[in-house]
Amino acid sequence: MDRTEPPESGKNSGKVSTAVLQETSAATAVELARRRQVLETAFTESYRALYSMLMATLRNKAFNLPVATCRDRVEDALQETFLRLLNKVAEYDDSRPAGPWIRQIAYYALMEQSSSRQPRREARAGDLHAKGLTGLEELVSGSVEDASVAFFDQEQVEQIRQAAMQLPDDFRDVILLTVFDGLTPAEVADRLNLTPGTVYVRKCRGLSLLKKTLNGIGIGPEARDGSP
Amino acid sequence: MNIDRLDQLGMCFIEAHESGDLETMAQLWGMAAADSALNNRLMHLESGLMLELDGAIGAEPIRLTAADIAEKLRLSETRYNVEERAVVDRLAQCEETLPETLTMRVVRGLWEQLGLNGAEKVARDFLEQASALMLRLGADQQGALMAARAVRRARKD
Repeated sequence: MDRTEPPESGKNSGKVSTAVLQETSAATAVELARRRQVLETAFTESYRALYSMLMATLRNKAFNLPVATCRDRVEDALQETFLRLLNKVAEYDDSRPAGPWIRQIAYYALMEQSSSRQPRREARAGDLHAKGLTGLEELVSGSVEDASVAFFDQEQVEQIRQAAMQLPDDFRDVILLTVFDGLTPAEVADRLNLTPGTVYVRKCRGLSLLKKTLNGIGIGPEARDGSP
Repeated sequence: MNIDRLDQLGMCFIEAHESGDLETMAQLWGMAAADSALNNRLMHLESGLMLELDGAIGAEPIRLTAADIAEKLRLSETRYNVEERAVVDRLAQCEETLPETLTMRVVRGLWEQLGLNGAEKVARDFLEQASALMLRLGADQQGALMAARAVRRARKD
């Protein structure tokens, strides 16, 4: 045995371990820096949409705040959002898109900026259900594929179509084409020369109006469930 | 009839947006983080609402600050010496808005106001970057600029 070559010992193993640890630590730092960069890019890309959405939310009559106050709160909330992102870099799962996560943090940050200043809570489907949105847990879990089963009686479809005909033009056209004729929003967008986003918004608003109308005439989901 | 769970969640999203229900908005985005179909739907709805809100961010034109331009100088590939880098660092601290019409005389006035000496190269680059940025300050660039400001402020804090 070559005496110049030290036998494998605890001390030597310790050196190897230290080197491995240093390598691991460096790899972790590189990975965290990469994730930080991904989040910063996603934050920048989301900023304009988030700013507009948060401003619009604060400027509606529920808050009734002056524009300057809204702007200050939104800017503070977005700055806070970025700080929280930096603090949560290690938690970020980059196999998922960052956009929804950034938006979730931003809405909670704005909520804390608003008068209630409630502490942040994690999202729970049950919270939405508690707001009286019938069948939402099943919808969230995806167990009800066709929501019309949960919300509308199939035998009343013709009555519902008649109610839809009474909606304002913008909503009526989108509802009839998507809900009754089965066109996709992209097809409707093409036919009506709208963006798909506008079609989705009009469909949701049209459905909300339709639901109120149906409840008013006693065939909507709330009328059926006996809730107010 | 063709209504799915995403339509129902979309209705929640629109109703929450219109009633200022921040918590429901946060919860829906939280769910969307783990549900690509919901994320896709909410992104569509957001873009639809954005069209309606178009101009909200531009209702009040964004004015450039010296710090905005300093950020651009830092990101440019131009090599500065120590003295010039110190000037850029000093500019990065200045959040005062710049006048709409920027000339070399205005830049020299800014140098004087901030007690900066020399660094002619930085002054020329500053004017060039500011002019270019002012020319293409569309809605997307405004958003990017505001995001950069938020990032800078957050880092200072």
